[in-house]
Amino acid sequence: MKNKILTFIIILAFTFTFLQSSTITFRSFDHKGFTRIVIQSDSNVSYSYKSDNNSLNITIDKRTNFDNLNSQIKRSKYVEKFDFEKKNNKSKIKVIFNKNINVLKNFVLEKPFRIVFDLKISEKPLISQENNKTNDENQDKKPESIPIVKVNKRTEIETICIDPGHGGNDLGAVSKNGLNEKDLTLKIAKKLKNILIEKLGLRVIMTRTEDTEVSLNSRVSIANNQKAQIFVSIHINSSYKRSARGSETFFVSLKATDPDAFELAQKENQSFKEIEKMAGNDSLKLILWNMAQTEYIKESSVLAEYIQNELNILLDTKNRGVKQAPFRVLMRAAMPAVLIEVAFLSNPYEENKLRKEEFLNKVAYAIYRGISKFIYFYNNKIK
Amino acid sequence: MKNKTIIIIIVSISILFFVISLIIFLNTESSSKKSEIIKSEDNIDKKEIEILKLKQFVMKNNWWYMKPLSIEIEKPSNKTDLYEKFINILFEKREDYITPVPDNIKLRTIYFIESKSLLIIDIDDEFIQKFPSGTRAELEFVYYIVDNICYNFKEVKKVKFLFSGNEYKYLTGHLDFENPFFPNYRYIRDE
Repeated sequence: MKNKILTFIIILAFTFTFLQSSTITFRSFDHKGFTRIVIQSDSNVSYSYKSDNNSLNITIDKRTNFDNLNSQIKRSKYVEKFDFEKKNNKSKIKVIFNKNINVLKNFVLEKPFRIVFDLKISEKPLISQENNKTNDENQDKKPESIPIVKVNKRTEIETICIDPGHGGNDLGAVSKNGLNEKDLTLKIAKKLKNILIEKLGLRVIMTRTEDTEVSLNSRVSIANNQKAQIFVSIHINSSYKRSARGSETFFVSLKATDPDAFELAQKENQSFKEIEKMAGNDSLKLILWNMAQTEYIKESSVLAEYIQNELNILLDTKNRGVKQAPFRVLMRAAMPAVLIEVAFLSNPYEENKLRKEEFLNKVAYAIYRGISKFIYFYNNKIK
Repeated sequence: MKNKTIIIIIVSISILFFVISLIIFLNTESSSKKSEIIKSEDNIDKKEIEILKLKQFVMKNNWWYMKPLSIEIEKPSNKTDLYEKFINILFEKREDYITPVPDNIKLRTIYFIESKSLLIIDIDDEFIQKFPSGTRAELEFVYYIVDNICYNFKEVKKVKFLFSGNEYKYLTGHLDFENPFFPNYRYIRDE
């Protein structure tokens, strides 16, 4: 009798597990200008993805079954191969394309639950793995995984504001050979914008797209008004010390602005309104209102860490680390905000590096990777 | 009649003599008092000349932090003069060290607001034209001044910069100059 009950429980458990797992189907379509990949599931699932030159790897955080009959794997002329694999409590889907791809955007549709990827197919010949290694030395230096963006249907980072430092009459730092900070920051910002749109399909706004002068207050107003969720200010450094070199990333410092405000900011779990209530005197209130950053200080430090780590890995420059200082442009940003100092124009060796497009590409790529990792962190946090 | 006239003349001469003597006497007394006062003032001055030992944190090309040098300055009669003297020393170019202040910059004046522990430094606006842009350069300048002052004079808790009497929101597009700066002793190392 005891054995019968045990067997019944085991069968029940298996049945329950089977019923719990979802079934997915795969579809692909070629549209004008893009190819759409759709993964349909009979229940809501969370997922992450990585894209390489010609492959798209999707990991579903649930054990699923693949419905081969109802899938249209080869409908798109660009899909070469489709692999489905169950591992532990996850399901992995690998789609191989016969051309290079870039993920334009990815999103979730409801009823039925669908994960959608819109891909840009490159008409250039496929880059082989071997060529890829020689052409892009960054590949060797990539850490364990490339940036993963986990999309959460409730909230996700959609808008990023890039702020190319200086502009117009404000040249920023100028090297001895006449290289201007304002030109370099704009170049990097444009490159970063393109990568963010191509790889993550995000909405990217810039505080300036041309050689124009924009005040620091206007820069942050643009970001706040456009409801950007990340603010990245790009600068090139200069020092009295000729030997100073390397990259450093800053987030705003409350301590360096007012010790009382700093103490209040320690209570990071408090909302901004609660902090304001705590501020007894008017002058402190004013400081706090001026410091919209207060609420985002922790996220800003994480964003700074991610970006600085990527700069260290990819740029092969001296790591000066993540630091805090009372930056005017960051103080009123109502979002995680950082200021990146890429390298030193006052250092002849680094000035030489900054003249090379290849180096600027690496900088943009490193910042993109840092942002990607932050988005992953952020989305997980707010789940 | 003749006798009467002689007596009047003698009395008048005596009175005149008495008055002159009195004037001379009074004059001598006041001048001796004056010299005494001067003497005593002189003594006070000699007593108040005091040598102050301070630390000036300086930077070098290959140093990650600012390191201290011992300096001696004559203590002026009031605090404001002392701060002014010290700031002028900070502005001076030194051969072996980097001074993160443009050449030939004049300190216009300073104000110390004791109730707020705030020192306001007013620098000639020529500074702005001569200052090289760059975040690091701004940080080097600000914390060279602020850390040195707040480290040596504990009554100063924060420093605000003015340029030719005007408040600037920012200098070369990085740090916030609208609010006073607090010291950040991460830039110095007291050995």
